[in-house]
Amino acid sequence: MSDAIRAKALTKDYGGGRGLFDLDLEVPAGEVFGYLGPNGAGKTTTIRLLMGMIHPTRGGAEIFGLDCQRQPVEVKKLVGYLPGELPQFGGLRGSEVVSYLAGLRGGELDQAEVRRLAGRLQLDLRLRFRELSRGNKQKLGLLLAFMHEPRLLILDEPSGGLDPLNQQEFYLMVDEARKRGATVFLSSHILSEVEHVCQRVGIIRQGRLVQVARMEDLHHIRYHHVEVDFAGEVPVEAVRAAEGVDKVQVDGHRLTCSVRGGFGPLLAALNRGEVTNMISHEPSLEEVFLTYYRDADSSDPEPVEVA
Amino acid sequence: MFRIALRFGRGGLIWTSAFGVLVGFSNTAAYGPVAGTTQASRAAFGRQMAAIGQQVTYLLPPPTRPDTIGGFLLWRGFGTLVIAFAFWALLSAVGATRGEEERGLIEQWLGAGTGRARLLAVRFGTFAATAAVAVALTCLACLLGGAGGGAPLEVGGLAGQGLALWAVTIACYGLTLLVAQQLTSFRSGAAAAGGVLLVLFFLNSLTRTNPQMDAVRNLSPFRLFERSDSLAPGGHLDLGATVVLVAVGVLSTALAAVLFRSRDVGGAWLRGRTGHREARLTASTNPVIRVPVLRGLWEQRIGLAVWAIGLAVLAGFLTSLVNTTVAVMMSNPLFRRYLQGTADPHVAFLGLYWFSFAALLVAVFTVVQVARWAGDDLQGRLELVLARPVARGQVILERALTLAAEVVLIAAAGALAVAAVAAADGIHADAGRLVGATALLLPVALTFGAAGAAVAAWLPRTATTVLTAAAVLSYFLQELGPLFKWPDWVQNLSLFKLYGTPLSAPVFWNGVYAMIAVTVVGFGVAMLAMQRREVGR
Repeated sequence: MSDAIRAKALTKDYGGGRGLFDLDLEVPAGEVFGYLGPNGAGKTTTIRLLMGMIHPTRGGAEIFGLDCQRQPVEVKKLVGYLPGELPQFGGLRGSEVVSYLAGLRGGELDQAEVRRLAGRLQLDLRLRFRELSRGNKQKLGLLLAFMHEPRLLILDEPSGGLDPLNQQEFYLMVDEARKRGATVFLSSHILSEVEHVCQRVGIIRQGRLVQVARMEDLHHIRYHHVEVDFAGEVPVEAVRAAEGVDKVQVDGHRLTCSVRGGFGPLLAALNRGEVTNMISHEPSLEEVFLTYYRDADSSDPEPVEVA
Repeated sequence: MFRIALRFGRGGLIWTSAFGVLVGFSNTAAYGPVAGTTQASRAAFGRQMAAIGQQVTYLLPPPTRPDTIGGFLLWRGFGTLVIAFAFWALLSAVGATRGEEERGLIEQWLGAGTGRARLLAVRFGTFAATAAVAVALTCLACLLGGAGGGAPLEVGGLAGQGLALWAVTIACYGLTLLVAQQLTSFRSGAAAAGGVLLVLFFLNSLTRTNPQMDAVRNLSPFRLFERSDSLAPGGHLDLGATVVLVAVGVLSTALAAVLFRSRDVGGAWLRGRTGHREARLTASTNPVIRVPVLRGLWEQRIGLAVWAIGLAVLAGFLTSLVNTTVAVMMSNPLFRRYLQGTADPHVAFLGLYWFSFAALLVAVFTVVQVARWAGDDLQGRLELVLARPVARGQVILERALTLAAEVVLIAAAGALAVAAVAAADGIHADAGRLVGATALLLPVALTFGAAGAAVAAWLPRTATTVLTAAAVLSYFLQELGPLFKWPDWVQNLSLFKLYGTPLSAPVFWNGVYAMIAVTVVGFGVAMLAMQRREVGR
C-alpha cells in the first residue's frame, strides 16, 4: 500500500525548545491515523507543515508522493482540511461560505453532498457566520473539509465544540471516508476520541514523536480513576490484591484507586463489600502521559514503533 | 479593567492625537506666512476667508474674525477637528460594545465578575481620559505652531475651545454607546450610530443660515460645541452648553448601561420574534460568489455602493461650488496667482478642488482594502483559502484586480456626477480630459495598493498603520510643501504629487511612470513575500 503521508526528519524549530523536531512518519493510504499529544506538543505545527502553510527548518514531507512545499497546489487538490480554529466570516451566510470556498477549488459544486452532510450534522446554512454557535462553526468546518470527498482528510482537533450526538456522527463520517478509501489524519488530545475511530496513533510530546502504535497496543498506558462508596466495611485488602489496581486509598467508607486494563478484577474485589456509589472517570491525556512517562522514568524517550 | 480599556484604545488615541497635532500645528504655523504680518494683509485675508467660509457652511461654521489666528484656527482647525474627534468617538464606542461582543470579549469580562454598568462606566471614563490627552496634545501643537509661525495664541481661549472639543467628543461617545445597544454587529452598530451622528451634524450645519431653526439646532451636540468661540477675539466658552454636552455623554452612557442590563449579550435591546423557518441545507447558488474578482466585489457590494454614492454626491456638491469659489478667489491677489495663466480658471479650480480630493479619497479607500487583506491573514481566512488549490501569487493578483475594479467603479460614479453638474453650471470641462483625470485615479490606488500589499504580505499587523502613515504624509507634503517652499525633491515624495493636475494641465507622464513602477514592484514584492512567509495564526 502506498503512503498517503510521508515525513522525513521534518523539523520546525521556533527556538527555545518549541516546535517540531525530526519527525519521521509514514501513514499508509486508507488508514485513519490519530495524532495525539497535549497542548503545545507540536500537533498543529505538524499539520501546518503538511499543508504547506509554514516552511520546515529542515527535512520535508510528501502527500501521495507530492512535495508539500514545492507542490502545494497539487497537494491541496487531494486534501480536505479542518483548521484548529475556523476563521471569522462575519456577515456571510453559511451557504455563501460553502459556495465561496468551493469556488476556490473550482469544478462543479456537489449540492447533493452538501445537503447530505448539512442534514446529518443538522447545520442550518441560512444562518450568518457570526450567528453560529461554536459547535455549529465546527460543523461548518467539517462540511467544508468533507464536501468534495478528498483522498486525504487532515483534521486539527475535529470534535472540539461538538455535542456527543454530533461527535458520534463525526465518527461515522470518518468511518465512511475510510470505507471509500480515504486516508484520515486527525489530531486530538482526547485519548478516547482517537480510540473510537483510529487504527493507529502517533503520540507527540514536546515536539518529538515518542510512540507510534496500533490502538490495541495502547491499553497498557490507559487507566481510570475510580471512587467507590460502601455502606459498611471497605474490602481494602481484596482491592489491593486485584490485578491492575493501584494507588488504593481509604477515607472512612470511601475508597479511591486507579485501574489499568480491564475492570473485571476490581469489580470482583468490590463484590466483597456493599457498594452504594461508584464513579469512574478517565484522566486527561496529559495526565495519562505524565503518569506513563513518570512511571517509565523516561524524561526524553526515544520513538518506539509498536505496530 | 481600566488598563485593558486603555490598552484597547491606544491605537485610536495615537492616530487621533497625531491628526489633531498635524491639523493644529499646520494651521497655526501656516497662518503667519499666508495671512501676512501687516494688519491690512490680515484684514484682506480675513475677508477672503469669510467669503470662502460662506461657501462651505454645510461643513464648517461661518468664520468669526478669520483675520486673527484665533478666529482662523477656530474655523479651519476646530471645525475640522470636531468631525475627526466625533468619528474617533463613534469607532471607539462601537468597538467597545459590539466589536468586543463579536470577539467574545464582553463575555470574558462579564464572566470575570465585572458588572455590566461598571463595564460601560469604565469604558466611558477611560475614553474621557484618553480624549482629554488627545485634546491636550492638539492644543499644545496649536500653541507651538502659533509661536513658531509668529502669531501666538491666547492660552485661555485655546483651553476653553479644547474643553468644548473634549465635551462634544465624549457626548458623541455616550450617544454611540446608547445607539449600539439596539444593533447586533460592529458594522451595523457603526452604520446606525454614524447615521445618527451624521443627522445631528447636518441638523446643525444645514440650518446655520436659518435663524428660525435655532431651537432645533440646539438639539445637536455639534451646535452646542459651536456655541463656544473662546478662540476668537471677544468670544467666550459657553459653560452651560459645555456642561450639557458632558451631561449628554454621562446620561447616554447611564441609559446605555440600563439597556445593556436588560438585553442579551450579542442581542439587540428590542428584539422581534422570528417565525419558524426551514433550515437551509444547500450552498448558495449565486454564481458570482464562485468567480474570481467578482466574488470580491459581491462581498463588498454594500460598502462599494456607499462609497460610489458618497463620492458622487460629494463630487456633485463640490462641483456646484466651483463658480462662486472661483469668483471669490479671482478677486484676491493671493489666490488669483494659483489660477492665473490657466486657460479656464473654472476647469483649473475643478481639477485642484475635486480631483486632488478624489485622489485622497481613493487612497483612503485603498487603505480600507489593505486593512481587509491584513484582516484576512490575521483572522485565519487566508489559511482557509490557501487550504484550497490556490497559488499564493494568485491571491495577490486577485486582490490587485479586485482593487482595480472597485476603484474604477467608484471613480466613475464621481466622474459622472462631476460631468453632470459641470454641464449644468456651464463649466466647460473637456470630456477626454475628464475621463483621463478619472482614469489616472486608478494608478494612484494601485500605487497605494501595491505598497500596502507588499507590507501586508510581509508584516500584516503593521500594514494598515504603515499605509495610513504614507497617505497622511503624502497629503501633508502636498499641502504644506508649496506653502513652505520645500525643495521639489521633498514635494515629489508625495504620492499625490505624482498624480498632477490632469484635468487642466498635460498629463504628468513621469509621475504616471513612477506610479506604474511602484505598482509593479510593490505587487511583485508582495508575491515574493507571500511565497516565502508563513501563514496561520
